[in-house]
Amino acid sequence: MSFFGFGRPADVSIRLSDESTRRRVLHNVSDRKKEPLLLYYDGETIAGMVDVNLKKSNVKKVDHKGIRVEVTGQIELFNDRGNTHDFLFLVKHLAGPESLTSDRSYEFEFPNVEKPHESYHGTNVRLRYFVKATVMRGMAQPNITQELEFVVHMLSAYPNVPNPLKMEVGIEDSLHIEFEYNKSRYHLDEAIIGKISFILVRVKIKHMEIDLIRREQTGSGPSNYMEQESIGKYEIMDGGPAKGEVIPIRLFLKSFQGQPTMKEVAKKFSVRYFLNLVLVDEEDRRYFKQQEITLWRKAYLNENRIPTNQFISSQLPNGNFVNEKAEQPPVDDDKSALVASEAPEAAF
Amino acid sequence: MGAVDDKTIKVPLSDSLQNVKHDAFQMKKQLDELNIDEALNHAATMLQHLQKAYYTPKEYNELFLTVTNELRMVDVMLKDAFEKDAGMAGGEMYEKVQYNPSILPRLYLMVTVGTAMVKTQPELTKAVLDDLVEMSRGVQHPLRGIFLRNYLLQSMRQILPDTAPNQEDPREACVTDSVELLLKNFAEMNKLWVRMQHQGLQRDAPARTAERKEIRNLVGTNLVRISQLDNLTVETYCDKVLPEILTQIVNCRDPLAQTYLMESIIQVFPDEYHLDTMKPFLKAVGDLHTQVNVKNIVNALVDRLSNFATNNEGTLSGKDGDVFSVFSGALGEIIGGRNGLALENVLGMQIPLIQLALTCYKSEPDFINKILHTTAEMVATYLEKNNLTSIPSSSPASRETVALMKLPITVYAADGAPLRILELSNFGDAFGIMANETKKIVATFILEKIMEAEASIDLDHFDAALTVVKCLYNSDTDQPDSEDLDLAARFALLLDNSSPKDNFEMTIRLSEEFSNADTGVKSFLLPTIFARFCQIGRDCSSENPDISKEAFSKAHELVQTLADSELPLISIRLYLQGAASIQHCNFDGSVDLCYEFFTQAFVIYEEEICDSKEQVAALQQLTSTLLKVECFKEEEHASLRSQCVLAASRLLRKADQARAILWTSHVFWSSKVLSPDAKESSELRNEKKVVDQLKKASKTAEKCLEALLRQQLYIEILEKAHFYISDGLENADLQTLADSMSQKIKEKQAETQANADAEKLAAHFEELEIKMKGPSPQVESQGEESAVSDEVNQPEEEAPEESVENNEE
Amino acid sequence: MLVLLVSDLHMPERSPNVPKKFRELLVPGKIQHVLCSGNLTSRTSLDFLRNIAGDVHVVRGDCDRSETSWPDEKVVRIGNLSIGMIHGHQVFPNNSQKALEAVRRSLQVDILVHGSTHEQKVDEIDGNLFINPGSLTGASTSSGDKCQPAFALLDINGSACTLYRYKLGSDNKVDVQPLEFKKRCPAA
Repeated sequence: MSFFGFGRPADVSIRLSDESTRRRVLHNVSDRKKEPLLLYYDGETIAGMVDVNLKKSNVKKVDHKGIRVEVTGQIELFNDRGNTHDFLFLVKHLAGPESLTSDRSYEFEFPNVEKPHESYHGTNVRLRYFVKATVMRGMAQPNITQELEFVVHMLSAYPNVPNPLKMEVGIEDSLHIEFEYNKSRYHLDEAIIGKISFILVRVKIKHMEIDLIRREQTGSGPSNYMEQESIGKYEIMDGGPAKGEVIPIRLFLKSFQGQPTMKEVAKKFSVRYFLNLVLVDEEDRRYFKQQEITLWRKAYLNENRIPTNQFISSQLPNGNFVNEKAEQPPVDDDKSALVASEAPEAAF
Repeated sequence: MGAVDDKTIKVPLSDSLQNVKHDAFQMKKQLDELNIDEALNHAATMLQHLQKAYYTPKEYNELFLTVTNELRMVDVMLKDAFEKDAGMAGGEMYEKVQYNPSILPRLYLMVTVGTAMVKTQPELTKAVLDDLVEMSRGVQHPLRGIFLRNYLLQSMRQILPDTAPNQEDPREACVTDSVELLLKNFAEMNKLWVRMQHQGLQRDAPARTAERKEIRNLVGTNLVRISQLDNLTVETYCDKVLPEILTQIVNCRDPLAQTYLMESIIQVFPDEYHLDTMKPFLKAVGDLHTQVNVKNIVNALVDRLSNFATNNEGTLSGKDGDVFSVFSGALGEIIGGRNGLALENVLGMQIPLIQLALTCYKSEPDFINKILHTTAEMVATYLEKNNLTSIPSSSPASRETVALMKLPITVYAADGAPLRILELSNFGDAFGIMANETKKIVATFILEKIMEAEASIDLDHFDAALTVVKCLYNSDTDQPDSEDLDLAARFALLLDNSSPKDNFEMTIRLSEEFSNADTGVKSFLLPTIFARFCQIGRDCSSENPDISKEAFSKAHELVQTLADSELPLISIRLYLQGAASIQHCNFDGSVDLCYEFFTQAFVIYEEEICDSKEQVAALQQLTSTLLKVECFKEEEHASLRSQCVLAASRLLRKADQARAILWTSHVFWSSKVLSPDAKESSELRNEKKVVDQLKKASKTAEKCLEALLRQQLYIEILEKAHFYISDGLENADLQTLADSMSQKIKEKQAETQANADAEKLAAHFEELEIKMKGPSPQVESQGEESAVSDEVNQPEEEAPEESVENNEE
Repeated sequence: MLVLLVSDLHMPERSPNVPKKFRELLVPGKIQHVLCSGNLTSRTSLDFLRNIAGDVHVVRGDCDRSETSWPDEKVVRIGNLSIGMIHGHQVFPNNSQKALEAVRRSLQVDILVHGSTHEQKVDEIDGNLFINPGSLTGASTSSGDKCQPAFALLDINGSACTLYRYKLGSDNKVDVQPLEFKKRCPAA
């Protein structure tokens, strides 16, 4: 591709040092497209090579004004195009001006890079990391650049303290249930264990599901945008129960491609998650109740594999959660929030 | 997402089946390529078809069978895969299938993967099965839920832990874990099954009941599985299994489920178990819905236990004591505990009890007596409480009582001892409490059994039998119907006649009983008693002449009772029957008594019979009896035969007169009369009188105005003439009379118009003439015959004779 | 075509029941017609006969109750045979063969079935059959004579028939005697 008749005299490319062994994850590079990108964690060194390859056929020699490499962490608000916010910017100069007559590689290393946020591609905002290599050229000659996006996962650790969500909700004289999720904070490989107890059933329930809702909030003040999106539905009951039935819940968060909860990222945006319990009756009326949960990403010693058998022994939903009896959480009695409605949707 | 509701347009079953095949094909293709994840995805798609619950249970079952049959391929494949990578692979896959957002495919796949996984990791069995049984709660749709759990039941069949509990490591999976699992699954399935009844519109309830019946076995399979566990012990059954099942049954309050499951328990578990759990079982019976036919359940249990007793010989007893006592105690409690239990159900429950007593305690009539007593008491209490005098015979309670009574009768009759029922001391209590109409049913049943066995009733059983029979003719309200009276009468013939004395005594008592009945009833009953007295009289005449004489005098009294009741025709017949019987006896005064019987018959004839038809009938009997009785001397006989002749001439209609005169002619001919020394008897053979009678008949016939009838009478006279001629009576007048009759007949024939009756007469006459002409009847041509007729066609003047009326006097 | 001939049941006056052996033989569905020549005397007897075959013909006997409406005589045609029925108490002298012949002539039948003596008797005279089937119940006669239970069965085939005579012996065994009969002059 040449603007000025000669085209680009050389290609530049970035090789990260452990790219063959480093884990890759699928990540949205645009709204539609996912690519397997290399995964980095906070504090990891980013090192590699920048290769400059001459176009052999017609180029004998390439002059440049210097070569540099940058690592950028950037938040981009789609509603405010062009206004990006770099929360991370590191530069390294690899070479001064010189003439290249043959291909050449330059090593680089950013030691212990602080990557304070998780990569994110949402509706109105994205947060991304990339390495950029630039071969600078003189006037009227465009720089030769190359970008390599990578993904950052934020790992957290929370003590395994049971902090169940338990609530009694209902619509007077019609439907009255108590739901219980074993925690309010889940790491992404975890399963939500819980149960729904039907205390009063005077409507004919057709089915019940749990939706995982992602709420993305960007900007502040007048330019405050909120986007809510269901990222997965999970049917937990088929048919209508009688009074007294207790329906178990086991929802593997892995089945949804959720990401950790992000709050006030660089004061630019937040991403929060909600469990929406929805009951649909035979007349297609929907009854629902949303509960926020915090998602986090857990650090594993050996991250190739999640611990085995977590799906059975320790988390059997025998109606009780682990230690539940010992630590009975206060019931958040939210009956006041009842909404009875003929409308197709009715929130508890 | 699943949840296809019933309003969705129904896909024809054949289409669904086809779609299943299609999905299955895709699934198998992936399996062949060892692409298990993809295969499971296709399996999930295939399983979506089971979401369609708008099919009838039958159709749904077909769909279910097709789908699960295809799933078996997956099972085989998984097992191979898990064997290669025991441990992790199974667990991962078990988790992965749970990512499926639709619950029904998810659970089917969990069952499939889970049960396949534990085949290579048996240590996980209990945890996985527990998980499956629990997670299946997510399907609350009755039909889908039942079938899902049925699939679970099928899949876990081979892997249910079935070892005795390990004392050293109580955590090791064992038979008790299986029991728990199955009980839990059973409880859930039953809940769904019961809930099915309450779906949809009220008016479809009967159809839903029918549909539920079709799939009841699916629920029952849980119990079958429990019973198939080799290491299930009686203790576990008593302490855990039965109590839990019964709790479910009682609490579900659904008549269909209760009936089916109670019967299933009885069927599925071994006899010894039942023996030890009668008390709790029967207690639960008492708590069942009022619509449940408790009797059938108790009956089925009794049947089981009875068979057990038969096969194991010996009195039945379980840990609660002997079966009968436990049963009767439990039934008492059921009855006591169920306030408002309909009387028929209370009574109905006595039936299995009596069945039990009859089968297992044959030699102890006290048990039967006890039941009969209780029954009588219960009814009495009920009547008192409700201020009633009796239970209407058409009511269910009465039907139960009848069934209750019939049982021992049937059993005894089958043993060839139908009278044993009469020996039960409390039989009368139970019988007495019934309404008369109900009693009749039982009485009929007893008598029929006695007759069937051709048994007879002796003096020992007589009183009890009489109590039973009384209801047949002693109706408090209506006129008893003839069938009941027939039966009462037949009872008299069942009395044992091996001892004349006892026989006579019983007959007298019965006679007294019957004589107190209404007139209409008496006419049915007394002739039998009368015949019985006559029979006794005749049978005893040589060896017990005293009894013989007394019997006939009793017979005589009896007819008088009837005669007083204005039953003249029957009285005449019986008097004559008596006379005919006495002639064979030779007790002191027998001939006088015989004569007395005759005289009485004539008196009644004279005084009571007015109807001309009845007169004819009575006169026939008088005459024919006179012809039979051979014990009279000339004087007595003459008196009686003149009575006959006189009566004949006094009949109203000429034709009747003529015919009666013809009959009476026989008393002059073949009557046997004793010689004065009473040593021999000889026929009268009074030719003149006979001929006179015939002449008189012909003159009477002459007066008959109806041509055809007159012609018929002529032929009858000619027949009579032929009779006497061929019997050796040679008399010119007779021949002349015969000829004249022939002549007249021919004349009349010429006059009468041809019709069927006339032709018949002509044919008769023709045959008679041939018969009269020669001893060797030959087939003759019409021509010759008419020529012969011409020959005798010489009309003679009829001898103008004086009427022979009263010439005997 | 099987025709059952019975007479003089006298139930319940003189006999409680049809003997068990006979009841075992006379089951429904085998016999087409039943002819009873008198003295059923009860509804029970009639019901018994009706249970054997749908077509039951009865004539009145001397002991049949006056309220019943049986005729004194009856002619039934079965196959090519005409069968007359009469009880016989109206015939004088009772049970006289000659008198019965007169009855047969007046009825113009091939076979005359009668009763009244309670004694089974079969005669063939001048090509006609006279049958007294005897008492089905073995009821005693009006003068108290004991009788053997008996009945007869006619197997009619066009103008011919075979008569089977059944008697119950004192040993409670059923004795069967066949007799062939063919109508002398079939309808020309």
